[in-house]
Amino acid sequence: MPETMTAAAVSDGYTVQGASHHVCQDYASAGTPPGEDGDAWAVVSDGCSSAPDTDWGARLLARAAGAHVGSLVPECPGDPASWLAAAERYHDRVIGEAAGHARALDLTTPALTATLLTARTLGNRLVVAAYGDGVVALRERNTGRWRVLALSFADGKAAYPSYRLDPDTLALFRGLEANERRVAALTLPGGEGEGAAEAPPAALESDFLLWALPREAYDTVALLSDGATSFTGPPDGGNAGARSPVELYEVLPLLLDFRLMTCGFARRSLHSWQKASRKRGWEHYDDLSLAALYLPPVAENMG
Amino acid sequence: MSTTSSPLNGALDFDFDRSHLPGSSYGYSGTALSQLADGATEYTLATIVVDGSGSTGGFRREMQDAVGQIVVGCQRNPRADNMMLRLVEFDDDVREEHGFKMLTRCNPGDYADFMRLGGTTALYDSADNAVGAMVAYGQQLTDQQYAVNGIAVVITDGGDNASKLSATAVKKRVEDALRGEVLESLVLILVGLNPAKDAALTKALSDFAQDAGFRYIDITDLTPAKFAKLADFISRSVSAQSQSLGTGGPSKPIDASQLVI
Repeated sequence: MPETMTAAAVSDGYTVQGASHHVCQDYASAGTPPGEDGDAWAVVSDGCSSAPDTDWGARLLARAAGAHVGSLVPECPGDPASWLAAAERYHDRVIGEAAGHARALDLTTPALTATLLTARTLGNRLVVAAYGDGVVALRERNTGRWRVLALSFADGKAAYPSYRLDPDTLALFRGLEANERRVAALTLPGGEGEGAAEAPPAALESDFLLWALPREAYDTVALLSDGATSFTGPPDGGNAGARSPVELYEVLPLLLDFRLMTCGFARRSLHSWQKASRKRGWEHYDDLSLAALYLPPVAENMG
Repeated sequence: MSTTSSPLNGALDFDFDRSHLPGSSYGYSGTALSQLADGATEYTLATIVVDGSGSTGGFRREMQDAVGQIVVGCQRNPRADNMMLRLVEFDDDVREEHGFKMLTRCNPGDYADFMRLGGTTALYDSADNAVGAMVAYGQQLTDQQYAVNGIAVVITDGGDNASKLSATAVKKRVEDALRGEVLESLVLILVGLNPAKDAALTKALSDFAQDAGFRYIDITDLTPAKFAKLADFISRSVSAQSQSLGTGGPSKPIDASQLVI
């Protein structure tokens, strides 16, 4: 019988400051869970601009996520409820630890108002948790196409893990009826129409979305903050210099054009994108963070 | 051009890829992309070209020591992880002592006895190869989304008398390099070793430098102390060029006035 060997995943993350921000309130991080050979994780955290000190908060959340991502393991992998319970536990631990660090730094709780997107490999699974808004992109191993999920909220009020620190705040958020979560699906390249939508992979739902996917189906997963949706084109000379939005399906092929899939690939991609973006006269007013996992093909050992 | 006979190649314990250089009789080699440092996003490609023609025999040891000191100086820079060094020796032939090699993997002690003297001076061929190889290897890197700039220092004690290429070909190579988008910036320095204070040599070298886009530095005092200063100047120039990576422009020139007699 061939013995299946899982090649080690490669992870990377990087952040660039938006044109309208005085300090970058995004943070991306990546690494490998201690003691888990071949597995890797990547996280993106995007601090809410209208809350104070969320540049600190985003970093604290990303750091705590790296420390606790190893706990994102279900007790019963065949049971969806077990996956959700593991993710609830994971987010509780992350925000709990981040809150502890925030207190030590004399930061108030609103500093932790930041999203958290997490991806990790877990043996033959790829696990993605999206708490808040942003973009999750999965590249199909067999087709090379990107399955993109753009996450937003109808009333612009994103879910934040920090709401878990206070039951009243969490209840208030859950009661915002006009603020339903939206998932816009894109496929790139889109075949008949660039960006044409296909049904996204099914997610488990809580205050966050959770995907537990077969690792062999995807070779790359990328997490992006909602800065990916903040691009504008060059000034329009005929419209008082106004800039028009650049659609996500135009931006992502540049951002996700990963080349040499070794450590640093996300940083290199963002640097390359910055040059290409400048040439096109694009600007992104919001911070942009990108964290990604590359999952090499599974090798077979015939011994 | 061959790398297999270079004494420095014995120190290579990792993969180099060899490539042909279009428009040239000589090729180059560089660290295989799979061997690049984890996490690196940018590199400064530095090329040192030394004249090994017979007339440099009187200061062979000083030149070798200087190359070792350049390596040490660059390795002290905090950006050493982002530098690669290529070493070329020329007489009437152009020999790559080693291709683009990560500076952190260069052993200063390996440069104590690499020169093999003899022959005439293929200055134009070696200058062309230095620039062309940086552009060609830089293209490989930029294709993989690395940011790249370059610096080449050519050290000679005589005017060209053996090249297959003309000075015009070198000028075109440099113009193409500057016009292209591979190297974010390119600094080129020609060092003339001129102990006889030969005005005709100074003019020939400075004319070539000016025409081809090199900065020219004339050194007439070839004492060990002056070679040490030259090594320091070159390592600081490489470091400054590395520091400028990402700014879109070249480094500001280091003051070379102390070298000029």
